[in-house]
Amino acid sequence: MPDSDPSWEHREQRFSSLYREHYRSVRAYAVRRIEAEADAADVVADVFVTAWRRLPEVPDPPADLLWLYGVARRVVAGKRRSARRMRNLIARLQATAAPASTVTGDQVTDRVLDAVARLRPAEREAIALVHWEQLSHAEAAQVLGCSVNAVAIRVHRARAGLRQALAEPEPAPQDARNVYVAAVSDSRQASEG
Amino acid sequence: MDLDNLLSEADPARHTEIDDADSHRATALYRRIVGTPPSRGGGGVPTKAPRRGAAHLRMRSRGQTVQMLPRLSVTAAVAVAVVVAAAFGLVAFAGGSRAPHNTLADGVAKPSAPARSSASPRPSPTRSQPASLNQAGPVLDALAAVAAGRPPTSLVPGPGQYLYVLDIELKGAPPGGGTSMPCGSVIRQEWLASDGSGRQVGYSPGCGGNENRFAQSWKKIGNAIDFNYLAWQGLPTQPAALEAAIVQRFEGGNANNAITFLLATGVLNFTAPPAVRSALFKMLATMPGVHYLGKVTDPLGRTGDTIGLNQYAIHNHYAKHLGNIVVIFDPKTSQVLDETPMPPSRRIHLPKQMPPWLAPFMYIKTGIVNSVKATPPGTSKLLKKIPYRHWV
Repeated sequence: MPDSDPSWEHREQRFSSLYREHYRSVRAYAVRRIEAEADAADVVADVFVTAWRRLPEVPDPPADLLWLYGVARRVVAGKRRSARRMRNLIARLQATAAPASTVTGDQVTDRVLDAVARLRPAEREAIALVHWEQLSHAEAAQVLGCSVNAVAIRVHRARAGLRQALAEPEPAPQDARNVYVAAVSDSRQASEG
Repeated sequence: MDLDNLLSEADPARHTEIDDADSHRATALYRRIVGTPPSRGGGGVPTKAPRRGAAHLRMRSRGQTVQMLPRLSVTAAVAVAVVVAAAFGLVAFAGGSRAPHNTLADGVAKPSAPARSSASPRPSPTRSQPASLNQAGPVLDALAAVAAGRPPTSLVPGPGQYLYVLDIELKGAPPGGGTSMPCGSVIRQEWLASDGSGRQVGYSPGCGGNENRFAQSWKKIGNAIDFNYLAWQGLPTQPAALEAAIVQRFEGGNANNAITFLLATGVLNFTAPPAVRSALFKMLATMPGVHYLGKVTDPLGRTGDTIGLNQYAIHNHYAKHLGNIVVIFDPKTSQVLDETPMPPSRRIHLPKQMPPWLAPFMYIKTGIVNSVKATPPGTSKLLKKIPYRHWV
């Protein structure tokens, strides 16, 4: 195979650029949705392996990041299915063992994460894309494969739900991050728009 | 504090260290993806990496997925495996974009595969050297005979033509969760031209009333797809020579059963002439670790002869993982019907009826068409027959 194979060089340059540009964003996306560090790393790996394999399908910037988010969304869905089973096992173990060390934030953050966790999955993903990934409604619609209107409605409902949840009396203290991840894990991917 | 600020403060990524693309972890991942061992070179994402064959790329992604398996449940492994399954079908297109046509002949001249059987097999269970056959040998010999008798076909699109592929990628619902096919499983149609342009439409049923349809097309991007990348036309038709050629061409001279197996099974239904396809089956019949797993019916109701390769190891410094791969062949046509990566285990247990949660990657139809929206004859009827409602 000649070293100056232009198609290979073009391919790798493109992937290198994609990787440099978006590694952090994809990693942040994974961290926001997957608690276990190793699993988040696996999500990132899966996303970029897919990108490398299907590079001709990756659109040009700025749509390339949305394409990566779309892949990440599906990869995360697979992780959640396994996480749900794993969580049941962990719950049984925790019944007889000391609680595992957990990630805790301050009280306000915990309450917000708890409230986000209790949103419907489609609304949760929509508001996460808009607020955390800082996508426009149109961009989020592209990632989710739905209409811009649908995103707007989901975000609106999510915000209303969050306001209502945060206005309620403070619940008993618990690790909101765990609640958030548990709720995410429990969500049937079937209801994710 | 208003809601926007509250959400920003609660962003989990703000409370986690997000590394850059230049970090050690990111660099190692990059090199694993593009095929550079992580033990070589310094930090930073390289702008150029050593190139390897398309099969190596496929194994890289496969190896990476297998690497996750010990941490996950069986269900998770199956779900993860779908990503790998996609590679079987699609790397043939994406990965093929950089392989030259004419390097195979060099490999033929310098056979360097380790000593597997060099006997000239005849498709008969009463052959004089039964020891040279693996456990799947008789079935593979039979498939070789079928392959040899098939008419020559080519799925290489010419100018103005597209390779059409209809496939189903199941995502693998948990076995304890019934037979629901989770959102994300895709019935997909693709049109691929050799100039790199193409179109894809897909449909994900079972999304809880939010059935997802998608369509995208892309133009030529200067990265033409080389559908001839395996150069099947130039391959030898004698099994031992064929194996040597594959090892030399795609495995760097060091035989790797997994790669050989993948090449011989995953791409069989695309462009190989009958004599080469027949030789590939004969080659598989002598490959260590190949097992016959009986007749298995896939979720579409198609029954075929099932061949598995277990405990494949990916050579190199960073991908020594074991896994299984199961392939179902149509005994009447010798075409591959399904490919299903399985989690590592000493034995592969397959039910006679493969459930959707095993997440096979199912090939439905391929053909050459003259437009980016055309389908081969009979495709519409076929699509209507797909019983995806049973998986919802």
